[in-house]
Amino acid sequence: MSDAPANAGLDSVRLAQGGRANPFLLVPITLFFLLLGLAVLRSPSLMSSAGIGSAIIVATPLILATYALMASVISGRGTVDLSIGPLIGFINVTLIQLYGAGILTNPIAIFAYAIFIGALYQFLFSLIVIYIRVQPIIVSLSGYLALSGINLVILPRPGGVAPQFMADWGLGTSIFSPVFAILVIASIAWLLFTRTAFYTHLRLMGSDERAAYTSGVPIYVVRIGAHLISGAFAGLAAITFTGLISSGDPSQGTTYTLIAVTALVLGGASLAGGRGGVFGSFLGASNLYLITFVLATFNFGAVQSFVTNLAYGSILVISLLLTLIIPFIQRHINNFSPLLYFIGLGVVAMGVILHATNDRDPRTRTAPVDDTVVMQPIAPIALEELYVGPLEVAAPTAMEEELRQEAGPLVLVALLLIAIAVFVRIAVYQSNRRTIAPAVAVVVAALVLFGAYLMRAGGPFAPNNSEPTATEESR
Amino acid sequence: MSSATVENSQTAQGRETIIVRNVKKFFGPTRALDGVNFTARAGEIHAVVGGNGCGKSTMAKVVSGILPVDGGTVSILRETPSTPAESKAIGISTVYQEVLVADESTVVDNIFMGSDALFSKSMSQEHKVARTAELMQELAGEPVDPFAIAGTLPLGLKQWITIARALVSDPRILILDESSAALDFDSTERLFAKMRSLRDDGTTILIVTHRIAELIRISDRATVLRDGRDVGVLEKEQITEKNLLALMTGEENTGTSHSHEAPQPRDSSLAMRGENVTVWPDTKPFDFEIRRGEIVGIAGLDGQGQDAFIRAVAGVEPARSGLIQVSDRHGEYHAVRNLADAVEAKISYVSGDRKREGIFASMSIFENMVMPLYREKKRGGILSIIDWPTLGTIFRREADNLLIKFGLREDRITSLSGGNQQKVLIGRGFAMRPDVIALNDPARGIDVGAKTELYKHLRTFASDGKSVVYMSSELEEFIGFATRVIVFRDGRPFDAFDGRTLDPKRVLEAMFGQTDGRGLESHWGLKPVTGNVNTPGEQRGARTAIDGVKVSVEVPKDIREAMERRNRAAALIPATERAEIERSVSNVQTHTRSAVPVMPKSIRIVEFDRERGEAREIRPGGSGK
Repeated sequence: MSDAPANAGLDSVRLAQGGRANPFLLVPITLFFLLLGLAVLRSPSLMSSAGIGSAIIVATPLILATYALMASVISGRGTVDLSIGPLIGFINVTLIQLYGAGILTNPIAIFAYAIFIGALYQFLFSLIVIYIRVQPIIVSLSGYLALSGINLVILPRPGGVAPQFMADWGLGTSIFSPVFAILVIASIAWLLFTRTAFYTHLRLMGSDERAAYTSGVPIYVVRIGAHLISGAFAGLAAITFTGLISSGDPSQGTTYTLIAVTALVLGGASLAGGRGGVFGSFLGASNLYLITFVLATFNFGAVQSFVTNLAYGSILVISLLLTLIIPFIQRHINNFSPLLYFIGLGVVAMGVILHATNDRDPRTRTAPVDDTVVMQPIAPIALEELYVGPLEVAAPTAMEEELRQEAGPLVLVALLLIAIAVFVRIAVYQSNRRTIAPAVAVVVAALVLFGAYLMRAGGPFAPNNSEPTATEESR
Repeated sequence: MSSATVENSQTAQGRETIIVRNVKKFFGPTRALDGVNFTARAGEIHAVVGGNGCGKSTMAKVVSGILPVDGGTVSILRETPSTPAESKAIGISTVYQEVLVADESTVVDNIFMGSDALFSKSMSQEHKVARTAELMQELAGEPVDPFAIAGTLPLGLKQWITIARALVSDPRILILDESSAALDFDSTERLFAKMRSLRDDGTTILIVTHRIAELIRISDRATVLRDGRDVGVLEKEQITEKNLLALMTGEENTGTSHSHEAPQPRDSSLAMRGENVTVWPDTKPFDFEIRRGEIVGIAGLDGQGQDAFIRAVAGVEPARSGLIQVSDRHGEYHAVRNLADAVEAKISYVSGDRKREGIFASMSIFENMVMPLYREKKRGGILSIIDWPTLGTIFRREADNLLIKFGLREDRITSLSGGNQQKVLIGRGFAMRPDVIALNDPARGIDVGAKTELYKHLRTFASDGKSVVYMSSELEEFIGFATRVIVFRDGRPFDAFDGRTLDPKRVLEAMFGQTDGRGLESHWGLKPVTGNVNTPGEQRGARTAIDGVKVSVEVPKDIREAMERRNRAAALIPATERAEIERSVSNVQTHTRSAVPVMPKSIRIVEFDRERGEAREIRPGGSGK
């Protein structure tokens, strides 16, 4: 955050007109870390290999469904594809039936089938929108109703068996599951796509179709392309959904429509077109998952689902209200960097996570503490208890001292990370280059993956001091 | 092509790049282009000029390939593009009147919009960024961040983006359709410099503009259009205001309405008045008065504030500042600040933009006309049952008056032709029995017969002592129809003309800012009643004689002036307060002098009454005469 006023100042020196500010991710990012912190405090088991693994399994179909919506909504004309849920359901049930009939067995064939059906449906959708000039919302509504019915015809009740290779996807015991790979590949594919001329055309068309047409952008082709991409994402969403439930279900997929649209809006995409991206969609969908997760830790009993829907609705409305301050931000901060904000909040959230998973209750720790009690000096503790007394249940043990020793460099690294990010941000702005966000994103993603690798079950850090408390508590 | 031989004989510099032969383009009944011929050569700046609605923008669209023609041939660089992509491919760049910018995208993407192939970029991103920064610096005169989101930029810079977009492809033909509209003086200079350098490189530049002063400076040749036809081509040395205006107005005077005499108000009672009104920011405030029984014509080039003025008069959109008041039947003034005030004060508004602020496309003809009367014509107290029979009567009356041709009154309004739809809307305006009717270019797109009917109807309406404020983009409409014509320019009245001696040429000159604006002060100017105190008294006396306000004759001049000042001030005090005063005094009046009817001018006497002594003296004096 600290870079923003600094950059605004620089901007006034340079007297360049215009702002690069894209503050629409401000609300989703803030909400993401708020919910993440809350979720970890309520249930530290989320931050274990199994916890994250199952979170990914459950959230991925929603995230991919949101991607599918995002791809078509960018193209403008208010193309919010309401039929995304039934489409996922359709691919799911046909896949199960075809597999049951022994036609589709090869994993590659299954992937190809899912993506092809999704793309085909979206292709027909785009043709209707372009040539018959029906409002996209009408087409998608008809698709919703038609597919919901067809799904029940194909598979009247939940059942069937998912292909063998998918069967163990739904267990979610490890972070590095195939579902995770699909999510990463889909996200990277979109990020690569954003570097193409086609993506530029897509955004221009979504933002102002008339301007794009009169400038010679082939708008029909671009619109069809957007729908094909959307269909491919829908196919992947259906695959992960099948992996999640390991069977066929004609009606479960339908519920994705409303959540995915909510996630899309929550992620800062513009339903009018021209704005949207995987980062925002990912955050929007993750936020919805985290809301469900947090609410699940409270026990509402029979009214659980009502409370969840209430929370979805109210958080959506609140976040839309918060976007009212965006014009204000745009006026004063010319160069808001969502990524930097993300890293800044991420460091804070990491602190919360470490606290929640390691310092929650020293009495539950299994590490032997008896031999170190003797060595504990008295005087410094008293001083520290002045600070930590109200928060800490027990005085720090030697092991905690050791942890603290280890944490010192970590804190330094975190501060350094923020400082470097701020510095790089300013440097990039000064050098008149667009952004190095992809490079930073790759580095950050690599770090996160490395961390996940370290804490995964069986990794070098897993059995000893870092994770055992969390895994134990989850049992 | 017969012109091929001609082309060959010419030098490269003078080669004809645009050849338009006998092109026709119709929009429904409107003939936007009616057999226009036009040629432009390489290496020249060619201006296309004309009044409002003469087809110059249509012409630009035809040449740039986004409008298919209904007849004739278009040959641009010996090809006939039919889509923007095709015209771009053969080297035509167009800057449209609208500022077409994708707000969510960056400046660099906006400028290079359409320059890339579908999947591959035409040049590297670094190159684009550098070019953008350089171009925007050169054009806008200030650095613009190439990665800025276009939506965060002010309008002037967005206009530059559209111009820069046309320039990056190094066009062989550049079409600028009113492109300097959003630019200030310095920016226009920079644009001209750029245009000259392009011309010297052999580019054909077509400018469509109504800013005469600018085009005289910049253009090498000019084609003048009138009513969808080309009426003359002027070479560089011939391009003068006089020649242009002569061609634009034309010499012949046609029109059926000529035989009519413009209605004149019978007295000087005011229907509306405005004080310190502004409709645009940072313009000088002006006052105006509208008498009962007159038709005030409002003219001006497109977007010079006349539209905002008529909307302010009708209460549709409040004026930026100032007070607009309407007089009721008792001569009391009520402020018009919003639509509710206007409806209360019996002002109705008819828009020429039927689609956007006129018809309810999915409803019947009948409903479209009587819609505003639902609340007024109701029965059954709180139940508010709509009184259909009464509404049916009103509908029949208005439909007969306006000669609306329709099948069943339950048919959808979209089943009617544009002219008949407009008549329904005008009927809606009349059905409310207004005192003042404000028409915003109502004759747009309706045929001559319907126009004649409309004029006749409005003239009858005015002769009943009602007022008409009529904005039109066609000057011919005002001849023999408007009592006076006020010309707007740059957001305020620029000049005014007497309807009896209306010369369209003079009005057109005023629209282009070529007159001295002296008409505003005259007795057909902005304030025909109070504004011309110094002019010989016959005008004023003639009117006041019928009015029966003998007070003005009797009172010494200094007192009268004080009285008028007071009146003006009194109009500003809240209506309730004034109503109270008026009522009490009118009671007194009926007791003392039952013979005298309650005149619209009674308020003046009332106000006078507050200065006890004089009032008592004067009234017997007035009655004794």
